[in-house]
This record gives sequence, structure tokens and C-alpha cells, in this order.
Amino acid sequence: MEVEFMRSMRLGLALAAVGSVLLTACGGGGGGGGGATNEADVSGTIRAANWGGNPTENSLVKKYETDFMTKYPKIKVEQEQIPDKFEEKIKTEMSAGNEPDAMYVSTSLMNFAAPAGRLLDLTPLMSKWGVSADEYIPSLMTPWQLNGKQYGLPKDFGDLVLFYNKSLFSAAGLSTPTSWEDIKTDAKKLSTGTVKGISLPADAARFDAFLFGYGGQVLSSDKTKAVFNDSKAQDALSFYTSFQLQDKSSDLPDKLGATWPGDAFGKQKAAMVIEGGWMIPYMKDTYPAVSYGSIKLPKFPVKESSLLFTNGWGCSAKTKNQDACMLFVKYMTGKVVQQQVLQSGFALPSRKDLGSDPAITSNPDVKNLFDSATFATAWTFGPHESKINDAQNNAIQSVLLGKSDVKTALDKAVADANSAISGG
Amino acid sequence: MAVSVAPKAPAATANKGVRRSKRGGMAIAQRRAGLLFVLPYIIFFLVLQLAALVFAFWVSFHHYDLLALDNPFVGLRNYARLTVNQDFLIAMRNTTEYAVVVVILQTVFALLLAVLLDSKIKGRNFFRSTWYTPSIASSVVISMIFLYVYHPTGLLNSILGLIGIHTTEAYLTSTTWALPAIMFLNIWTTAPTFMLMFLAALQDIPKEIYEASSVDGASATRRLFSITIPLLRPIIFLVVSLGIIGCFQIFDQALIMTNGGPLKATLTVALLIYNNLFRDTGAVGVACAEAIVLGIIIFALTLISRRVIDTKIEY
Repeated sequence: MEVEFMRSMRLGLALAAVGSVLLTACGGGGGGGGGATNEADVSGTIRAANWGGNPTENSLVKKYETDFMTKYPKIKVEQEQIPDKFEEKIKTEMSAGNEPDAMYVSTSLMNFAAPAGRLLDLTPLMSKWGVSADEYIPSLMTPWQLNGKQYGLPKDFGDLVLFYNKSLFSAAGLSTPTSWEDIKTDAKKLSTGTVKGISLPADAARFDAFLFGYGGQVLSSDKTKAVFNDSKAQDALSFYTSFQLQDKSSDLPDKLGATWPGDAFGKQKAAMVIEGGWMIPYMKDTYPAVSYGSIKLPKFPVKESSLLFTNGWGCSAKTKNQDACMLFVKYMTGKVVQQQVLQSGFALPSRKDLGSDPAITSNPDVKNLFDSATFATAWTFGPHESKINDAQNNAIQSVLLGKSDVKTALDKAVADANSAISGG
Repeated sequence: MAVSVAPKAPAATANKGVRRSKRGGMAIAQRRAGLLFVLPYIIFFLVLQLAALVFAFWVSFHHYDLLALDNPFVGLRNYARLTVNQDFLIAMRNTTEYAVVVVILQTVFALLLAVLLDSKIKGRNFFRSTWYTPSIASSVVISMIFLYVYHPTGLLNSILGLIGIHTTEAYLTSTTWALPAIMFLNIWTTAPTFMLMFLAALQDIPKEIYEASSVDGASATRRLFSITIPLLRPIIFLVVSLGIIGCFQIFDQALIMTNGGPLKATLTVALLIYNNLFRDTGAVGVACAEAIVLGIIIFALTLISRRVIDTKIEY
């Protein structure tokens, strides 16, 4: 079996090799439309790649693209679904020079591709085709900015709130928590037998909300070194791990017989979890009987905090149909599409003008999520973020597994992260 | 015990000289046809394997970023860094530990299964098919299944519960158990393939030798160690070297089941190469250097195992 894999890995390498030698340029065919000043005159064919791991999301994207072609009959969109390993595929295509014209640009793809000059600067096209940065929530625009240029537009976002199980809370005679003190005492009271009060995973994508709330930072302000081992970070990690280590009121999801915290929450093995908007369709589809509510994460000692995860659309720097691609990005991040995204329950809209949409105001959980964006920080740490996050995850895990104390774990993680940043 | 069997006399050689000229013409035509048949593979090999290998070798001397337009030559720097790269050293240690345990156990296990099946037990065909089943399934599928087996409330703990050991150990998130868990899974899936190879070889051992040794009064154990194992040497070499090659390339199970965790306890060299290649885009040169080093290690170990195991057998 390993032999099989090695063969396919060699094949992959070879394809990359052959591709980069031949430099097969097939970025969109004909058309052009570079001189058009009227939207209706723009023509051309663009390949648009979306991460299609989820069949429902896939067919929704397909529908939006069909709507787009109805609106702009001269532009043809070819959907390319990449079901898994989206970024790996795009990176390989970029290195071979045959990436699609338009694509999902995650914050991590942005971190690699923009400094390498592989993404199209949308700034001039935005003013040409009447797209204003003010239409979007400001904290969602910054992840796609580099040296004052905009390389992508946010298509949606998710952030973190605290979900709590209403039946378990009322059975224990508890009311909705409003502070971290409440959450800590409630978690202890709710932990009985195989049920834990909360499930906090060994995951920087949850812990960093605490880190920022305690006034800590992952990277120094000039982003040249990791700094998540100062006293604020130590306090944050001590607090985060105290649920499991001192109070015995939290456990890792797999110890609770679940694959991720949301699963433990659905199985009613954890009465509280810190998760995002993806919980809403997940609970509806998988655990419809569980009655739950949510609160914004209470204020931490220094400030209110949550993490923002966002995804956008962007264009390849090599696209021959820049105008068509920009119009496509404009449409896919525009009000018409985002309203439908919102109603499908997949993600929250990145646009200010949808903040008063009934789909948000009528659902308190959605409203909590949308409102948390005002104080949430985008979870993205530059080109070395995979190693930085590995280091953070290892630190949290080694404390939770009792292999290390908080200070030692964070010091080691910062050293690892710094050696990655300096290219070690 | 050296056994001698007279080689078969080569078939009639008398007419060879007479027919040579005619045969020569045929041989050329045959050679052409032969070349034509292997051509697809040769093209495949040259383009997709040899070219890739040469390219990887070239990349390993460069600071190579998948997305950058300029990739400068850095000489041996990528290789020099491996000696101080903590991740590479950890991965190397994990992979070696994994390979030593898995190669030894799966070879012994496969040999025992084959010897068992070679004896005339009832339901031989049934056992042969059922034991081989795990080897048919894709390693990805097996890994997914074993995620449930190793789950705290999964099959393994349920079975342990039945025999009175009650535990909710989460094997794949334990630094102690994660690597052994993957070792066990791999022994279980690959041993049957090697069992088939041993079985085929066992059936090639002339029955006369066993009969002769019985007449001399050799016990079953003595026969195993003095006849069976020595005569199986070429196949033991094959199994051990395929095992070494496979084990040093361990990747899919580690990616799917633990993704190298917890705390790098299952970080393997192939997984590290993959991470350097695709996750940390700027590290393609490092990844290629790691791949070349891994390739050299596998090559060297195969040569060594050939020296040690595959000595000539004299019938």
C-alpha cells in the first residue's frame, strides 16, 4: 500500500515537474474584453474553482454561477470543483502555470500566493467596476490586504460564540451564563459521570480567542517573531487548561466519544462548546432534538474577543479576462448571492448591508455570531502559519496531556515557531 | 544441511548451429516486437519517474518555493539543515522505530501463517481467503475503519471490556499508544500479502527433502529451522526488503489516523515531506532533500539486507 502511495506521489511530483517545464498556459480562452467600460460588454470565459467538499455548497455555487451567466450572457463560467486538498491543488496548478482564473482564496492561500505575485491586485478593478471596500465588514477586508492592495474579497465568514445545552442547564437548575466565572462554576456543576460541562480542544483555533482576550498576541506587531509565551499568554493557557486539569469539567472531544467538540455537544456529552455558525445547520441536520442556545463569548480579563474565519474570492494574476473575473468576484461576494448564502445557513454574510436582514435579526444565535464580528480577530498569521499553529497546538496538547507545565510548553512552542519563521 | 539436486540437462542442443541464421532473422523481429511492448512502460518510466527523480534531485539544491518565480541555488544548505532540523530527526526516529518493529513482526507472522496453511489443515482455502481480506482493502479505508476500532468507546475497548479490562483509553491521542496502534494496523494488513509469497515458496520446496529428513529422524521444529527457513531465504529477502521499503514510506495511515500527532509521536518522514511540500510552500527544496535522503536510506538498507539474507542456495 505504501508502495502504491509512493508511486502516486512520484506521479504527482512528475506532473508538477512536467507542468512547470512545459508551462502550459491555458488561463481562460479568447474574448478578452479588456477595453470594455460597460458591464454588459465584458466577454470571455473564466474557470472558477471552488472547494467542493460539501455537496450542498457545491450545488449552491453552481446555481450562483448559472445566475451570473444569465445576468452576463457574454461571460462563460466553467465551474471547477475541487472536493479535497483545495489549496494543495491550487498551489500545484499555480506552480505549473495553469491555475483557474477565479478561485476561493482562503486566508492561508492569500498568505502564500499574494507575496509571490500570483494573485491579481483587485484595487484598480474595484474602482473601475464600482465595488467599494465600505460595503464589507472592515475586519473581513484586512486578511486580503498587502502593501495597501486588495487581493481578494470576503465571501462569508464564521466566528466563535459559546453554545450551551438548554436542557442540561435547566436540569441542573442553572440559568444562562453571563461571565467566565459563571461558565467555570456551571461547568463544574454540569460534569457528572460521562458528561462534561464543556469540551475545550487542543486547538489554537479556539484557544487564541482566550489569548487575545487576555491581551496576548501570537506574533509581534511587525510579525517577525512569535510572542505567545509572555505572562498574558501563560495566564490565558492556564485558564484554558484549568477546566480539564483542575476542575475536571472539560475533556478532549475524543475522550468523550466524539470527533470534534460540536459532535460531543450534539451527543450531549458536553454541555457547552465554543464553536461557530456551522453548528446551526449541523445541529439541525444531525441532532435536531437537542435544545440549545448561545451567548457571545463573555468579556475576558482584558477585552472582548472571538476569532474570525473567513474565505474569499480572488483572481489569478495571470488571468486574461481581468474584467470578467472581477465582475464574477463582485457578483459572488455581492448582496444577491450572500443573501442566499445566509438563508441556506452555511455562513454569515461579509456585507454590512445584510446586517439588518430578517434571517439575522430573527435568530438570536445568528445575531450573536454576526455581532461578534465587531470585536473578533481574523485568525491568520502569515506565510508560516501552519508551523506556528502546529507549535501552538503542541503546547496546548502537552499541557492537557500533563507532559509539560504552561510556561515550559509555551517557551518551547515559541522557539519552534520562531525557528520556522526564520526559515530553520 | 546442504541439499544437492542435480540440475536438469539442457534440452537438445545439437541442432543449434544449423538453425542459427534463420533464427537470427526471427530474433530481430521478435526483439522489435518486444521493444514495442515495453515501450509504453519505458515512456512512462522516463517521463513520470526518472524525470521526476532527476527534477527532485535538482530541486533539492535550490531554495524552491512552489509559488515564487525565482528559486535560487543554495548548494547543500537544504541537506545541512536536515541534521539540525528537530522535525526531521523526530520523524526519522519514529520511522525507524516503526520499520524495525513492523518488518520483524510482519515477517515472522507471515511465515507462521504460511507454515500453518501449508500443513494439511481442514478449511485451508477458507483461512487463506479470510486472512488475505485485509490486504485487499485500500489503506485509506482500513485507516478509517481503525479510527473506530481505536475509538475510546470503539471495538478494541469493547472487546477488552468483555474480558474484564475496562478502559476508555483514546489510543490515537496518547503519545504512548499512537505509534504502536498504527504499527499493529499495518502488520495486520500487510502480513497476509507476504503470507501468500511464503506459501508459494513453501510449495516449491521439494517434498523429497522433507521425506529424507523424516527418515533421518528430524523433528518438526528441526525441519522448520534446518530446511524450511534456509530454503526460503530468497523469499525472506524479498519480504524483508519490500517490508523495509514499505515501512520507510509509511504515510497514509499516519496522515489519516493521527496527522502526525499527538505531539509528533506519529510524524513520519513521508508525512513530513508532504507537509513541507504542500503546507509550507516555501520548503519544496527541503522536502526534496528529505526525499532523496529517505531514498538513499531505503536503498542502502535493501542492499544490506541482501548481503545478510540472500546468500546463494545450493540444492
